[in-house]
Amino acid sequence: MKIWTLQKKRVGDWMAALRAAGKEVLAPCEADGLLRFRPIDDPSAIAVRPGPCPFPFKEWLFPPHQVLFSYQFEGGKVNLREEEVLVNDQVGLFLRPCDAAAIKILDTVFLSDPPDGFYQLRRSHLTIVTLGCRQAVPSCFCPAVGLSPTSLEGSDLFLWEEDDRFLVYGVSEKGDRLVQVSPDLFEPGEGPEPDQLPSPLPFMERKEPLTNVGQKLQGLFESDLWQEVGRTCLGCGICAYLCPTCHCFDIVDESDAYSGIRCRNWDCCAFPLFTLHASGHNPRPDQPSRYRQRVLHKFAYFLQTFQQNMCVGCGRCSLFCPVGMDIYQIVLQLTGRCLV
Amino acid sequence: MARIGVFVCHCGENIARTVRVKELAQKAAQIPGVVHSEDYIYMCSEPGQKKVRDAIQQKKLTGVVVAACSPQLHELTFRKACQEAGLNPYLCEMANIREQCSWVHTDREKATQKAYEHLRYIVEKVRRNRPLRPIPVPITPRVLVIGGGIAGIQAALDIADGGVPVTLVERQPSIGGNMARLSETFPTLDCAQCILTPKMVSVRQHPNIELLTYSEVEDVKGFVGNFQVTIKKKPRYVDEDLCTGCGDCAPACPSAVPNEFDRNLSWRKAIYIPFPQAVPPVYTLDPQACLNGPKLFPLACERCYQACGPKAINFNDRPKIIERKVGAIIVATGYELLNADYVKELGYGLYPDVMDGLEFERLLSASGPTGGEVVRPSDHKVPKTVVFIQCVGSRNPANGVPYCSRICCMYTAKHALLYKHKVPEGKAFIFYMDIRAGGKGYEEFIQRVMEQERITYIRGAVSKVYGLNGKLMVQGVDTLSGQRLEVAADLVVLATAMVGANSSDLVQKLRLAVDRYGFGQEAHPKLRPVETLSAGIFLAGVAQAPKDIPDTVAQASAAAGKALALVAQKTLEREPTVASVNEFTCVGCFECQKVCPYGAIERKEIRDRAGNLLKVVSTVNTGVCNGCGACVVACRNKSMDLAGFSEEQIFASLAAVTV
Amino acid sequence: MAAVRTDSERTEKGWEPKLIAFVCNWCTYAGADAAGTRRMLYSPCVRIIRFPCTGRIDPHFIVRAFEQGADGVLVSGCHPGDCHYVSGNLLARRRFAIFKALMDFLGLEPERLSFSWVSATEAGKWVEVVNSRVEALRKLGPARVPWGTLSGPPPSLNGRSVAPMPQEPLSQVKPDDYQAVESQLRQLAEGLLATGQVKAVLGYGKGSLQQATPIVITNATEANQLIFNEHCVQNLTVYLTSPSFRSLRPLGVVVKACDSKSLVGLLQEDQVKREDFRAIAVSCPGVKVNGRWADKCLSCDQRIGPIADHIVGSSEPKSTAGADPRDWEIQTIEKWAPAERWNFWMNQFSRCIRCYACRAVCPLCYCQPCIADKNRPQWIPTSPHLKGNVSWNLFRALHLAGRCIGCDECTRVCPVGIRLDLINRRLSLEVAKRFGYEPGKDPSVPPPLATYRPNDPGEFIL
Repeated sequence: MKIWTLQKKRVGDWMAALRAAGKEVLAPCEADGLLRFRPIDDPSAIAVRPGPCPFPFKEWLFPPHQVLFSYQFEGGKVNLREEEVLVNDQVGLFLRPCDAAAIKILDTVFLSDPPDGFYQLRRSHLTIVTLGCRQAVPSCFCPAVGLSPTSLEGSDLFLWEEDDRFLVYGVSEKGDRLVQVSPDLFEPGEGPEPDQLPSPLPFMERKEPLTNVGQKLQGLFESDLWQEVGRTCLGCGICAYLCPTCHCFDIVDESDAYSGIRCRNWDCCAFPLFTLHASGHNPRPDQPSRYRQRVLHKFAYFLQTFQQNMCVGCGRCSLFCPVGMDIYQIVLQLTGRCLV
Repeated sequence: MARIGVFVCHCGENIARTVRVKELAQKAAQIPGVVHSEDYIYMCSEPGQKKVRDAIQQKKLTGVVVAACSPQLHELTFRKACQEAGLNPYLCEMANIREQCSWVHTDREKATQKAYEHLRYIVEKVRRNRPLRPIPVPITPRVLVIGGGIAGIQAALDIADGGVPVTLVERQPSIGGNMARLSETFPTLDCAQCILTPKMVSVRQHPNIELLTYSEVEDVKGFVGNFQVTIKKKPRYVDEDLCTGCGDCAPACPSAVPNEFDRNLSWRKAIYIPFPQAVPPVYTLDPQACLNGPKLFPLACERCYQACGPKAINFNDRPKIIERKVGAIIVATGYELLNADYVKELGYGLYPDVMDGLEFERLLSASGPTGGEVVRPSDHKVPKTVVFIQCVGSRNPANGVPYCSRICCMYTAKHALLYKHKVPEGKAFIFYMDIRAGGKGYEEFIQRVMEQERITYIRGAVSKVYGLNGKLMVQGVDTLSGQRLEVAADLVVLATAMVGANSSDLVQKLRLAVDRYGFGQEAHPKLRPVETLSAGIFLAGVAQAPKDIPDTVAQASAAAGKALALVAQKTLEREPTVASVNEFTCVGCFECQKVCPYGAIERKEIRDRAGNLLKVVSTVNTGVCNGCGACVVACRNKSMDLAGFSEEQIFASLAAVTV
Repeated sequence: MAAVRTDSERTEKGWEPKLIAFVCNWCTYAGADAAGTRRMLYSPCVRIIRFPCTGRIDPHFIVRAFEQGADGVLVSGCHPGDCHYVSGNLLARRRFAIFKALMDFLGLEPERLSFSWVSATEAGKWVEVVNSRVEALRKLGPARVPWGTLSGPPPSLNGRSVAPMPQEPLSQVKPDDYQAVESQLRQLAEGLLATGQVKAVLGYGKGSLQQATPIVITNATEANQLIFNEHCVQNLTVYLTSPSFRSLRPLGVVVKACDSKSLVGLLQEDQVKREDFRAIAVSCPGVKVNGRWADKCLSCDQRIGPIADHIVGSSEPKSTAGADPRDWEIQTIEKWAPAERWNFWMNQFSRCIRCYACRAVCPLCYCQPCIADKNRPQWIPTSPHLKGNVSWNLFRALHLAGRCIGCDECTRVCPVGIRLDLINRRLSLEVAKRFGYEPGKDPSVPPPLATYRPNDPGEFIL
């Protein structure tokens, strides 16, 4: 793996070079109090805080609203028009290791045969530049799910911040190519293996392993515990929408008598209507059963199907839950290991 | 699949001159769901209607749109044509391209485009129309009349004469109401009792009238055509069948209380008959006045029982509950006089010689406490100077009621005239603000009173009445001369305001809309003066608004006519464009119930098979719903919908006119 | 949702304003017919949709008309007192007053949305109203640009850090103020559970990440898990309509003064029975959100709310209540021109991701299913595009008008920081000003939009 250094004050030049090469740079920035990945031109607009950016990167690969096709009725005929997605080359800058690992999970879902055309197109144009975590925040629990603040999963380039410069690890060829866009900005450098970097891992508290809880959780399917842990869930979509790996969607038609669009929108398993059948029957009729679905999907079902954990331990769901439901604590409680 | 037929009318040149009708018909054929489209010169003519009927049958149409004049004109015409051809009439609508298009625009392009978009909206609407049938509501052929005054009596007689059974409920021991208290009536000076009692007797004798006196309506359930009424007959303690009205009991009774019929100007016994001509002519025992106390037992005094020949007195009487099913209800509960605080300045309640109009009627009445002699209640002397004050409380928003009580000018004039006839040497003064004498013969009556009877009319208000040396000093003003003046009167009569006598209990039970003065709300002030907003409930007499006897009788007959029209049908057919609830999604907030002006929304419990209550939802009584749709707008999650103007229809219409 | 005519097509062929008129059958429709009978000419730019009554006209229709490309909307019906259905137009007058206030606040040009009373005899008035509306629209130009698109960066409210209202009133609050309440609360809960007066107590407990989370205790021995401090922000009354809590009745629920007001609404709207809960009213000095005192606490003058079965702590009113900083923000927004206001709100709504957290935390959003879930017809598009987001946020605000008691939970939980509190407060102020009604006080009073007065203000009606 090649290693370079990049002076912090040259990041702006690198961004300019990337843009000149026809690439759009997406980095976390603040707009009216909201931190989100946005295309930016000006490096001073970048806002990186400890911990993951509240709004996940997934919206750039899997947008909240995607038109699939549109149609019009004219003169007794239907004109169908497929939606064209035009994507520039994009560079996702300053993702966290949990974000990058999450993208790998989304790849598993959307790129497996047959691949989702929209996702595939966007994914193939995306290069991921991850920033390792020098500091964790209380909500982080990536070690519990087999990741770490210096994990390289899903990254093309891995950056580690030092006083006035970044250590740049070329994790993939795609990442290397990004460096080659402006090679004179990057000095060849030396550095420890990423897992030897001075990461905050030893000081993180939330490390109880949650990687092999699938069977135990499934065994608890009929348990009354789900009532206890799940009844305070209000059924909003914050956890799923802010989760970097959640990818459920709803296909809806929006139309009048003359024209319409069919689109794919984000959906959340916590919504009461998520599993409502046309017959009126709902197999998950109450909030505790819906919360159970969330936990099992994250820690059991996905593991079973894809041999990967679906949770990357970013902690966003727990931090932003309106009623403070902490999935880490809850899984511990369910598997008999209460720490609080 | 929709199979809509479109018919574009030229209306001669009225539409065709501005809207390109042939082009319109051709474009209409392209609208999804339209399988037949033609234009014709006069669609409302017989050949035009035949085209509609033929197309329905030949092309098996599921809906018809006639683009022509306003539906307010011909919707019924075309709906009938459709019905004749076998298509449900509610699947036919009209697109207004004349009154709202060709007649008001000149630009042919724009008018044609507008006509097309409008036509398209109606096609979208018709596609989503459901076949509807008028809702049949069975009708119980009986009418309840609440209130046995002249209005209730007249209404009951009219309905009974029409062959329909009537239950007449009166809370007093006798029918007759306030009119029975009157001496003579204006402008003819008929004796009130003389014209009233024959009607009262007719009521008693009429085979179709069930007379329940000393009774009150306890509860009313149901809706138009199907009311279930619970009536409580209060215990008289006298058997109505045995009592002969001989009157031997009253002199034997040792207990006397003020006589309400005489407005407390005389006494009656605990066992009494309100007035000699009472109907039914039986006595009533008032337990509140009886020496035995309200519970009657243990019996200490039985003198009435002992005096009674037919042994009609029954101390063990109990209230009876009577249930009746009726198809219509007439509310004829009459009025009271409002003697509120404001009359204190005029001495009412302070001086016994200051009285209101009804009290003076009792003085004038030959069957009253003084046998028709006008004497002062205080010392029984004949008053030589009587002051009448009009508009006491009426026309006074700040300190009374804002409206005019309508009859006071006339009865005051009558009072003054009768007084002068009885006390020719007496002086009568009338303080007035205006004179309202709109009825037949009224103006002439007033003129007679003013000119011939030598009664002094003073235009001005009275500020105060106070006692001084045995006289009542009436302080007022004469606006025509600008002078303040004071009249030393022996007797003062106040024409106080009329208010409705509706008790709040009754109002609630009937869900009757009543204003703050107790008058019932009519359905439309000009066009529907005897109907209320509750279907099947009608108003008659002063219960609706202040009025005199001729108007009361007229209105009573009108209400009777309405009630007869209602119950004459076996079933009532109501427009089916009513609201309906999706019980699956209703969350029971009852915002709909709060906004419905007709009380058509009721609560319904939804239970599971084990009987456990799952939730309470709204349900629409289609017999009462008028189809306004306020409930649909009030419903936040749109569990409510309205047939004929449904959510889906409007949604589709909006696209049709904007795109 | 896509229009057949594209925007460029409309301007190429020479743009003509499109006015959609929603009229009542008995008065205005007849008046329009009368204009026809008298051959009075007016602009063909109007499209008339007939309803039985203005009471049937829902703001959904108006919003949909704009979404579909209408340039202006006119609603017209019978004069007050003449409604064929008695009160439809009187109810509508109230509803439209609030709707117009909302649209004005959001920045829709006022001339685009008009209301009028036109009777069956007023053919002349109908003609005048239509012509004047069309002319006004002609001057304003097409509505397509404002509705559903962003046009540049929005004006700023100067950020939250420059609050005009200093937090001094609450600087006197000490941790002790909560301690006493907390220990009393624990004692009370223990007693209630031990004696079986309640089946469970729903209160605040210590969270693992967040300082306070809702907890349910069913045993007297668990009473020590209850806490009360300045982090107890959640409005727990939201759980009273949750099916998962039905088996826990009677439920003791810990409420602050603001939360208690929600109980009034739930009772008014028959969502709970009085005997199904015990309101455990805790004397609240104030709560903090993100380390700052919550805006609502700055102007709060009560420690205990309107519904309280048990009072924990002092019920003395607070002497330190000040002004609500949102009022200053609302005034700032109202000084901007409509186009700026519209831009501000479109930017706000464009962030919405339709997580419905605002709906989920609100005690009065209990409809199951919600109007946003309805798809026949779909008044509120479910997609998180701007048109759908505007529709959702607008209608939620409208559904809460006259009901929202300002607990601000919706604003706290919104993950993208939309200023829902400003919209809800603006409508609250309008309801108070026009109808003299304040929610959260008396459960026996009918809600303002379900009733009317014959002399309700209607100055906005032509």
